Amino acid sequence: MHRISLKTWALTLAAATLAVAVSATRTVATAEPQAPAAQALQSIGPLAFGPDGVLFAADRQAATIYAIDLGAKATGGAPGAKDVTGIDTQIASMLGTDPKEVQVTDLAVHPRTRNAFISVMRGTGAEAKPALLRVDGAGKIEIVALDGLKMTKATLPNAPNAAAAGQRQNPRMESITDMAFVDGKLVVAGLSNEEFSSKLRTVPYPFAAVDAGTSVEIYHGNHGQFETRSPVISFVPYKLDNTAHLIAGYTCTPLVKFPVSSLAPGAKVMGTTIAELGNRNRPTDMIVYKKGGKDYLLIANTSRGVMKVATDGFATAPGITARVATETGGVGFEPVASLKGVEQLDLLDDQRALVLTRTEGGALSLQAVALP
Amino acid sequence: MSARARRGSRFWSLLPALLLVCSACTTSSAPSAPPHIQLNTQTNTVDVTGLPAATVAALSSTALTDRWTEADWQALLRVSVKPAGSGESTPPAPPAVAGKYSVADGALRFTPMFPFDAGRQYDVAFDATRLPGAQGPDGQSDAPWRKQIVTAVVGKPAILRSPSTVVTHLYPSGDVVPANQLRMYLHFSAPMDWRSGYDYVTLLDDRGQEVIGAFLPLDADFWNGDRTRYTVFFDPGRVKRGILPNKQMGRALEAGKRYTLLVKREWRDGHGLPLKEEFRHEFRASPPIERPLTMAAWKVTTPAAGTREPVVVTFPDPLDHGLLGRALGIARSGAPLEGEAAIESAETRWRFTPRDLWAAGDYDLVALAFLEDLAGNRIGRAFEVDNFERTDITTEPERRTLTFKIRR
Repeated sequence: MHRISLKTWALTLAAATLAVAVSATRTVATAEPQAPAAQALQSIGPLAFGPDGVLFAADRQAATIYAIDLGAKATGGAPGAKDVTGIDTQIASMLGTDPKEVQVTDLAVHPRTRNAFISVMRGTGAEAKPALLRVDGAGKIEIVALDGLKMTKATLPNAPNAAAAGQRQNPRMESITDMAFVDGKLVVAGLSNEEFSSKLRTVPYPFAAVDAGTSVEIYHGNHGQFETRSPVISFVPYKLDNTAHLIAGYTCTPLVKFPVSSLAPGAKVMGTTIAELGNRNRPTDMIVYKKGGKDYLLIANTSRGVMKVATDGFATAPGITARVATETGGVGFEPVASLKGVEQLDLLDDQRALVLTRTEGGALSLQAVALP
Repeated sequence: MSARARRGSRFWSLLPALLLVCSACTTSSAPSAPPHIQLNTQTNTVDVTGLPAATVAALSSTALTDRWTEADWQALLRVSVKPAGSGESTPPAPPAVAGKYSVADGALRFTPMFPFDAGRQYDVAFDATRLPGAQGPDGQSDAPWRKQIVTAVVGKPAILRSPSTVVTHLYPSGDVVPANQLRMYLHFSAPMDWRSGYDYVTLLDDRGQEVIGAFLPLDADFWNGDRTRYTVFFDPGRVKRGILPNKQMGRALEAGKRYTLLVKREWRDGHGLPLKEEFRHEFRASPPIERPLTMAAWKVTTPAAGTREPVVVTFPDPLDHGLLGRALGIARSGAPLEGEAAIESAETRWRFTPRDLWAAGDYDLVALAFLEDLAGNRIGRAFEVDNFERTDITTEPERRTLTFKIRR
């Protein structure tokens, strides 16, 4: 099973364009500086590291993002990463339960120590609790106790409601699917359980007291050939002519890129559909890396394994504007057959990626693998 | 710990069924008797009792607690999940359960970071040779148990429950849906497991064969806040014309054919139990609806002023149940009206009963822009329409209103 993850990474790419329409609405997120530990997370999902190693952790249940100062937990372990076979069993034992009761929700590599941070949910029912773990360079797994750590939070705005305040039910409508820190702002992708649409918000960090979010619906399309309201599932920051862009994976069409600066009320997003990766498949995790002087995108997918895409084609390839009659289209990709069962993916260093892989027997392992 | 868990702890504390197998302890209170290991169901902790007072004092001294690391404490008292299928723990032992160590009520106490699971067994090993003051003048330095590892298996009894959670509603509730149906809502009688329901919902054709690839294969969180409603998305790539999956596979539903939505019993609820029974809902697919919603086509039935009779809005086709719950309201002079709303007649009717008596004059039926019908069509914009050439900033206002009059 694949979960959504996010990475912060930036490389440079030459420009290419394609028109995409957008609607924008102004929304307000609430932020609370230095939230007491008692207001700890109800759940833990996507992770992202920000400046100075601050860890952003999404609480999907509460539609809230916490910015966590890891303190001594950031540097307390042996630096680097080490393979850990059967890490799900070890984590479950530390949490006092069975591996079946533990669901890994994300993996993120600390930008300085290169330790792995893994978010999990312990339990699956009403009593399910979040937990954060650190795996250091000696393979030692440690639970990061969230209480006692300094954290601030930003809560996504409630879903709009036409009813009077007294009769409003305010059920949670939105789940956070991905986050990344780009140019001083946290970009957050949300997925609604009612509307079929995508919400991308940019939240300045440090979290401000009010007006901390901008909601922008991203549409993309090529002369009627593509879905226009498809939710963003995962994305990765990418620099294009020294301008921050996002490369986004959608539910109903493959990869699209657009400038981060367009994520503002009233803006018109310009994007490029880069590649068609085949149907019945969703890109769930992406990293960008450099090898041999070239930039590559590494994509983990729900049903088509791991793909390697050379990004130099992004600059010159025109957007896909005609009906794609073949299984795939756009910029070419190369399947990475050596990587199987990848459920989580992050960049470890210049040479390696860190992955959580599921074996056919069902065990989950942490592995550092050479970048293909 | 939640209130429910606390109630459970009190309940089970009354039962003598506490599982406690102690291989080296006795009930003797003689000075040289070994300590007891027990699971304290009041505090949900593992307690080691019967230690000499001098030993307890040594364990609680700051000189020790400042010096000892977690590894030191785990070497003294180790709690781990008992491996399944083995009569007793066999090496290599699983990692110790994480938690805090303290001295309380004269006992060495281990408090797990997460409450022990009901029905799970835990191995406990108390290595008395690592006790501080083992050689000290506490009168028991030479006791035999000082040279032993006292072990026990502890656990809370399993909470016996029978499957009871059922699917209570499915929306759209009518027996006809358009071939470009976009989503369905499943309501449950109790909170469910928070994981995806993708593996447990199947579409069957009129021969009982599964329609492959009907739903969005996305392991996303499509639950509401308390996990009693799950949204099933048809694969939009197949629903919308011209998109690759649609070209290759066509729509999952064909107009004129009958289908059954099957919810498998294996779907787990919040207690980890399967549903009480599977759920089936039969429906027929009608021709697709590919036009935008038009408020002018809605029929508004108004009561007389001075009453609290409902305003009833009737739609020509069913609207999305989830969005209807928050996208419609009634306002007067821009202020939302307090009252009760109800969705009826297979989502073709919306009824609003005001809290206060109607006054004569103009009111607005307010529809937020995201209101959709079963096929994702919005007010003024069909699902099939592409937005490539225009922005929604100008084409999709936040609110649409339909003014009606209440007369005396």
